[in-house]
Amino acid sequence: MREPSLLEAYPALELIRRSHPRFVERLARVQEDARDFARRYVAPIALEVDARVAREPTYFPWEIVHRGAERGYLTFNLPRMVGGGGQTTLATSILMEELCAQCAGIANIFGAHALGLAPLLVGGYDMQKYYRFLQETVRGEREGQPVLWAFAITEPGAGSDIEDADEVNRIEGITHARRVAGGYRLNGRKVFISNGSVARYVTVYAALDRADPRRTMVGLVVPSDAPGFTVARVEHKMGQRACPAAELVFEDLFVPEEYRMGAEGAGMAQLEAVLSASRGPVGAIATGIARGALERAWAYAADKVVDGHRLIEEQWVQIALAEMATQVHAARQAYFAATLLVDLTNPILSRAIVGRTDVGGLVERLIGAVVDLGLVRALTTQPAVSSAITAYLTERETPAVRRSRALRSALASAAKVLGSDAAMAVTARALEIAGADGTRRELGLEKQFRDAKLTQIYEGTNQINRLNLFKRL
Amino acid sequence: MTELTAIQTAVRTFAQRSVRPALETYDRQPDSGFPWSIVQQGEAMGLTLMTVPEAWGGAGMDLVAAGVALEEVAAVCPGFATLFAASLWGIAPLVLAADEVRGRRLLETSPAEGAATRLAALVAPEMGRTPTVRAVPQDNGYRLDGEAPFVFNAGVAGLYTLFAEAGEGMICAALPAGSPGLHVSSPIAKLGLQVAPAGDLTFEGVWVPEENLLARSGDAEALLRRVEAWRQGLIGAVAVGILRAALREATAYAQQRRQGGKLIIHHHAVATLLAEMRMGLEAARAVVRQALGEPEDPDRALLARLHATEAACAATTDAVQVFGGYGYMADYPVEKLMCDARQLALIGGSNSRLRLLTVAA
Repeated sequence: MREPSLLEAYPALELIRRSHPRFVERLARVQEDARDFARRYVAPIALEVDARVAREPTYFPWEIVHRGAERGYLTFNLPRMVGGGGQTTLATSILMEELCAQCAGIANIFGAHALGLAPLLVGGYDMQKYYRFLQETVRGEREGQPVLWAFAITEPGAGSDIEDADEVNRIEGITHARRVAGGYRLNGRKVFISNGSVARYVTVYAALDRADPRRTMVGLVVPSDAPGFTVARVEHKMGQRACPAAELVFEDLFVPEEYRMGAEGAGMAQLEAVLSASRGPVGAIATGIARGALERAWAYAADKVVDGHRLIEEQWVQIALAEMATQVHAARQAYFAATLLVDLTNPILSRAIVGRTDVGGLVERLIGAVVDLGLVRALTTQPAVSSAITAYLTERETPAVRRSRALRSALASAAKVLGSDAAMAVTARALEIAGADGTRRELGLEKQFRDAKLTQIYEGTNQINRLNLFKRL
Repeated sequence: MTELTAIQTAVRTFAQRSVRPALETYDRQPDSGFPWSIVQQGEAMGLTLMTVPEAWGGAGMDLVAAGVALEEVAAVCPGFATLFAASLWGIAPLVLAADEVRGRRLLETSPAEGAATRLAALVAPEMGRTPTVRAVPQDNGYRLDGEAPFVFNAGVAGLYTLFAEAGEGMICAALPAGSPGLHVSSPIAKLGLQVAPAGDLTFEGVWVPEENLLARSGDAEALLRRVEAWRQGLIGAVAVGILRAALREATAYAQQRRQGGKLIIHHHAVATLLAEMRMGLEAARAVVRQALGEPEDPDRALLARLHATEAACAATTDAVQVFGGYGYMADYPVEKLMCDARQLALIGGSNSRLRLLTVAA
């Protein structure tokens, strides 16, 4: 079974290509490069890393991080003005699908890293403050000393509540940031933090007032070498093992004021923006896992001889492969729509897509659909213009803007739920085709089955995402 | 019923006292080797020879009783249950086709490798497929050649029963472990059921004497159908135990975990999953019991296996979902159940194909 080309994977891109060929060419290069990287470096080590981490949960495949850094995967969607790749959310998703077709665990190292950086890009605050972090990340990538990031919201007693403005105030003992001279003292505990044990920086969300996290949530950049930062444990996971999930403990950890992301109390809004942008790519992760399983099952069935014929000649196998392909297709179109919407409602990327630079047109689009105020400020090169736009939008959040934000969140949840359910169904089906043989470690199918389950859980369980979808409809 | 209740109580105690403490070692650490001591304790209770007539040294239980016992073990560890179950379906050809003299002789001369237990293993094609081992008449017996992949209890069984293609129909024979030319691979690294080893067998000119022959041609085919009825029914019984474990763990967790201001068991999103697990469990137990009570009806056993294993796969996947992120971690009991259920569901063929065999064309 041949891997799909860009236009085979996303037929709707043909329409965009006619008017904006460079945008589509760029995506094609991302797909091609990711596919090459995945085949060359990820596939050969995927099973070995999975087995090794099962034996030693603290083992981390730094080598693949270095390889990814050579391709720019650690600065993939950082602004070009700081030396990043300036890639879209859609491009990130294409990258994720390709990597996940070979190993979701390794892909998740890069995914969790991008998620850790995401609050810096969507926050709605002064870019000067976090410039240094972005530059350090770019420099580290160029100099072969990768600076990894992680994103920390989940707490022991609060899985989904912390992401939900209606529930966050119920959490007991939420991670707390106390104002002190020159910054904050951080105390608390975060669990299941992907990259948490290997990251140089962790973006952490904490409440200034434990009685009212909703209005006092604040995002902080926490360096992992700060006194008071402890990796309490690294989890023993069923799958996606290459990417460690760590429990982090903060004890009177001092965070300088300038490491705060945005305003005090802006945390919940930032979380919503980050999750809207990150759930679509989870759909892409799931799609990649499903596609990898489809391709492996197809190859197995085409090769396997039973009772004198190829397994793939049996009709039940053909029907199963067709259904799997249908699910992969649906999952891909769902994340395509969700992540393209993120990009289209992002003014700067939108400008790049349509190839226009006039501020008038930009403002017009912003009023219609914009969400990411932070990006406006961060990425517009003329500070006067950007602050004017920001001020304008902040004061006039029209119903259209609110609807756009709701749609973005809803489509992201839909892509996540549809994709992850497809990943479970397709990987299980792949095992059915290969039978007991499929459960042999060396075939890789059972790993994809284990990897798939996590996509129904992280970035909000599918149950939470369904409820989110309901609220936004 | 009182006899069944007694068996249930005894095996439940064994599962709690002997199997549960051994889980951490044998299920979690792949290099721990084979749990001989637990299997010996199980044998002392009659678990390895539950369905063997008492006159041959077995427990003389029927399949319904064996199913009750296996459900109890599986509710604690599906891997241990599969190990015992695979021995029971391995010994089925003997019980169904051998007379007392031969049955006793074969059992007594075939202790399991490395210990004085009597574990058996079945070498049979997937249902509806032809055997991959070939038999050619030779010197008052048969010469066997070929490969048999993914045989449970391979390497630990003392006795193999096998179905081979003999040109004009099948033969079924019993073969002691260690027969010259019989090669057993090291245990297969696989998805689940870590306690129950499976291996690939290679037959290279293995000679089996006429006196070990259990059936040939039409009789062998009829025997295979009956053996399959045992195998499918017992797989179903293990699946029922898994369903029970999934429902038990998920319910207990949902009763103490709070989200959104209430226990998650009060959220419909979670309660729906628990309800479906319960529906799956109750129906599976009923069809499995019925199938085990009518072992002469292979179709019923296959239907029971299909229903029970599919319910077990769905329930264990949902149990992980109820636990959320914790469910994905090895410190919690449900991710193992999910892998075990899926491995079980693929024994002797996958459900996607096996379901086609239930259609009378």
